[in-house]
Amino acid sequence: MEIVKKDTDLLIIGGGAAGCFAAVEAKTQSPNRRCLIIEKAHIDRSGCLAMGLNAINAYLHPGESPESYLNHVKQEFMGLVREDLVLSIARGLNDTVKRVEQWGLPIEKGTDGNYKPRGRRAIRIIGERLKPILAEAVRRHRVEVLNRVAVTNLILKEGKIVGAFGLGVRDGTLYVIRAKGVIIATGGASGLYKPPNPGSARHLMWYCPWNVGTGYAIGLRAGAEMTSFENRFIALRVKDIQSPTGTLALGAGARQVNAKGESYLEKYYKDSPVKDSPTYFRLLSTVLENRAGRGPCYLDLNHLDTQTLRQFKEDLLNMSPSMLLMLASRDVRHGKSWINPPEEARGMGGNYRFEITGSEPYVVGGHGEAGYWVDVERRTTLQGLYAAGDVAGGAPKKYVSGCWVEGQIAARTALKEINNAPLPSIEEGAVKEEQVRVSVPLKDSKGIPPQEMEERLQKIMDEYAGGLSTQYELNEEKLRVGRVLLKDLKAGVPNLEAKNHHELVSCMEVVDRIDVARVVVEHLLYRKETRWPCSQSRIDYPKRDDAHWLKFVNSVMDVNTGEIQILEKGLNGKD
Amino acid sequence: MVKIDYKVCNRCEGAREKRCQRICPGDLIGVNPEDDRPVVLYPEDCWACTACVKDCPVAAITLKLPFQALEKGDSLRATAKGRKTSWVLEGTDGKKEEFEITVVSS
Repeated sequence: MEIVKKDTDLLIIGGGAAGCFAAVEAKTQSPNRRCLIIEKAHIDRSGCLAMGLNAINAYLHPGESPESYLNHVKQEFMGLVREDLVLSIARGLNDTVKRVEQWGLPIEKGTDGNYKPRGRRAIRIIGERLKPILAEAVRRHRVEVLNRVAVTNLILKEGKIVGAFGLGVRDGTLYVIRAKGVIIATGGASGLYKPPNPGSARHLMWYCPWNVGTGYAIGLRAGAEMTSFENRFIALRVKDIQSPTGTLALGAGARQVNAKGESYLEKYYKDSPVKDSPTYFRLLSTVLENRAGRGPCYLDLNHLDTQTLRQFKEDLLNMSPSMLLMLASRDVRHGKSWINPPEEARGMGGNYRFEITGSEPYVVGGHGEAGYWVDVERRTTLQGLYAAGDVAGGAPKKYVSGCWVEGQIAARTALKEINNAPLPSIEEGAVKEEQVRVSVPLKDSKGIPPQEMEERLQKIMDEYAGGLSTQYELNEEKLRVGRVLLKDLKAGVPNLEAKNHHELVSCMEVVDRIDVARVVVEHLLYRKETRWPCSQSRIDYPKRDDAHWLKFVNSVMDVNTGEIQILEKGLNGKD
Repeated sequence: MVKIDYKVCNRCEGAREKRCQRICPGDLIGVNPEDDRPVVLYPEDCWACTACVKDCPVAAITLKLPFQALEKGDSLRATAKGRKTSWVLEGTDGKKEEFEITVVSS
């Protein structure tokens, strides 16, 4: 295994929305500081934005304010959010959107010259090329980028983060990178739970399948404090291909109907404990309607005229192109015409509808609020480490524009705290230890392929930690079984086997996923109430209990033993 | 999953790293050293993101969905050129619909 050593001033781990923005901000403020992004894929098409995006869901239209935005987020998340973080995001949203528009992102405007609203806090964008646009800005600002290098661990020295180890995903090179400040921006975690599709359709999922929770795992292993891993994110999606329902519901005005064609949202609305939280409510009502025997549930698009249908298709191409293939297949199956409809789509037999279901659970800090426990300047609890984007917790509904703002804030803080002291030396022993850890699966023996261990993990999480097969429901005893099974699974990690460098990366990914999954289970066990339906539904504690649980559940993994300790933090972000 | 049409693929004129290989976010594409063809090594891991479909300079790659999700052979082709991305959706019955979308403003 070849070893390559690199030094930089500011190291950014992950070149997605948050990482690209952090890098551009750093080079804008301090052009003479070195800034290096390491990226597991290629920054032109990596992470969540690889497919494209057709809306920005966090934007303040005229009449809205950071405070009104905070109120909305707080309401949606049952009162439990970090107000300081959400406000700091809200204050930066519009400027970052403007900046990306200047870089070339087409955004739809109304006759008044303002961005045209798509829902109260969203705008419609033509974002198929959003990721290449961000990557181009990074190149223009002379940021150094190391593509195809996956981070494997942070380097901790005397209580401070001084760099990171990376693995060349194609050649197995071990990178030892020293830095004066490190921003973690890797994204959240998919693949913890059994996905809805089998076999070669297993990666038709909502979240990027290569965002595997590595950012969380490396922080956990270095002793960083995490928050709200029990706040799993479950997306309401078009069944089978996991296409976005927002494009249909908000972009095309589709209704949610049951098998009989009845709108069911209103029916639950009166009695629902979560009626003020539309995102949870839409999912919960769909789960309940299916349970009552009135499934499948659909998004009904029969009202669309030909012109709207055409725009709807373009929106899908910009964000979820596989949905077009579903449209085409429907054409043949139902004798209907999704492709080039002759006149109007309206009223053509009621078949212009798509079945909707909940996705498997994910752990993210951009839609949900799981992630690093950070202060308002985006410092993590580890000195020298800052967090931004999906990997940073406490501030849900930040979406892409919120990730940009967090990237900016993290870069500003990191630059302020970088000094001119020489980079510390890194002991050969520490390098050797990481080299051994990451090369173990390449040993020549019959072991467990990473895919098998991944599927075992997903099965455990699905069955004992509230996956799709249990309709997300949780109880103490099952979670305790899950805890034991995950411990056994982790004990099997030394038996992982990789046949090549690609599989070696898969081995590292499943190791990271197991660490994240263990923390998810501990958080789910600890919160003894039901705060966020489906996301965190305890059958044994079915009610929301503000008197005891309007507080954050945080965790720290012991650096030496791997034991997970749970901490409580108040609403104000303090003890 | 994506299909590479080797009658159209020009092996990126001998470039060491092929465009589809360079762009795939899952690093799922490799090159067969014997004939220099790009090969989807891990088709079961495809996210259907179409990054390779759009980036291919000769439009040799199409997106189809795996049978487990959708039991039809409809296909989607795309080309990213300049500020525009154009798409061709083709049904199994031969019906086509085309799109041209300006994705970068001037």
